[in-house]
Amino acid sequence: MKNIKKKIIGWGVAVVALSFCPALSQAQYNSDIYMNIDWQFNVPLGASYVDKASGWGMNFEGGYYFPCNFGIGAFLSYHTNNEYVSRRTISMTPSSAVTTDQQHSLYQVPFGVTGRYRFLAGSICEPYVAMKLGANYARISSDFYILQAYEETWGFYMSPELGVQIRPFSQTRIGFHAALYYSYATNEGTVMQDKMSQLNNFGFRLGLSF
Amino acid sequence: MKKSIYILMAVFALVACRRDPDLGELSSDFLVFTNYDTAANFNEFVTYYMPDSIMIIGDRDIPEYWTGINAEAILETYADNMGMCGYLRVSDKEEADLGLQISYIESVSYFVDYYSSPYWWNAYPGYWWPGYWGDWSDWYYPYPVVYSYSVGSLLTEMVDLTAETGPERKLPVVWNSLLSGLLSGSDSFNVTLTVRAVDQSFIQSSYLIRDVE
Repeated sequence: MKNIKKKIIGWGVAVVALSFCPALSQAQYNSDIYMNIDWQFNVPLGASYVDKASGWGMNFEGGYYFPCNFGIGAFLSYHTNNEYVSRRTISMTPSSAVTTDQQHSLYQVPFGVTGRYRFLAGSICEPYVAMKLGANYARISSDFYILQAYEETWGFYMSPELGVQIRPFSQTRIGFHAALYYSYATNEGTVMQDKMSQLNNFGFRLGLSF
Repeated sequence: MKKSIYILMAVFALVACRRDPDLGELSSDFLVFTNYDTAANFNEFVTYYMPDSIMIIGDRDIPEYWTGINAEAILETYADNMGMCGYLRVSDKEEADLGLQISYIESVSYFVDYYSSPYWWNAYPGYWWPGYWGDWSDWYYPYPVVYSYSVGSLLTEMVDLTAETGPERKLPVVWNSLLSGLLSGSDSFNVTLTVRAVDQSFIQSSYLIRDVE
């Protein structure tokens, strides 16, 4: 947890420092349209169905900035977190029990709309704050022996985000994108007596901006 | 702009969305499933009978039985656990309160239609017909059963031989277990895993332990 805090502070300092650096704040390729394709690293928080962090996810996002630097767009991302659960005995019903080890898997696909506010529009480093709202599809599954038990769930999704678009090239719109996010979803489900009640995630994204 | 959209679409199409977990991480130990009749009072049973062989469920038309060192090791494990639970093994079926019928699934061909007919054993030649145990018309599970039959599974049913007999009466199964796992190329290792699974089936069925005074 200390490491995560340190990382958050580090990212924040870097974004602010870059934004105020005169050499990097020259006008670059400016556009009202933005698109991001990111690889993402996701850390499930709390007593989640799966607790192990992973980098098995992507984020796709695009939108339009109004002259007042507010932007609106759409996003879709997906992520898989897997965790090995060692051999244990599970009561399936009041009279039945099963002993096995399992591979728990949590697959999330949130999508919806996003609102952004950018700072230093047109500079090389363009920080922004964003809020994503939408729906979250989550599939929880348990693989054991040659079988799989699973449940598909839907929930409401919200995710605040802090990021920066870096456009170092003046002749092209292609640049880089980095973001930190937290997300919350209302999905609930149960697989083999293991319950998932609401999803909290923290993570970061690294990718390209267009 | 068009290029960007194409790139985005290509990336989306190329990247596998869902990452399957590594099933190779799963241990080789067998899955152990047990179930029982909550209405049964196991303290009332004192003796049990267990045949000296394991029935093989294969794809032949005549009943087959598994005997030999490996089968003996498995049967001994059942005997040891039944003894530790406080039951006395008898050599005469008619003196027994409980009967243990143990079957090894060598082929799943008889289970293909299982979900449409829970009485799959009716189709299998010689499968622990009720007449084997006494004067019952059939046997049945007094509780819901869910199985995933696969080759290499060991299926065990404990029947209540104190149940009322008669041509209209059915013999109840008061406990059952299913031990299933992926078989290795080594018979001795498979038997080791099976013996460990049999032990586990009793560990997770503590209600079978009699209160011996």
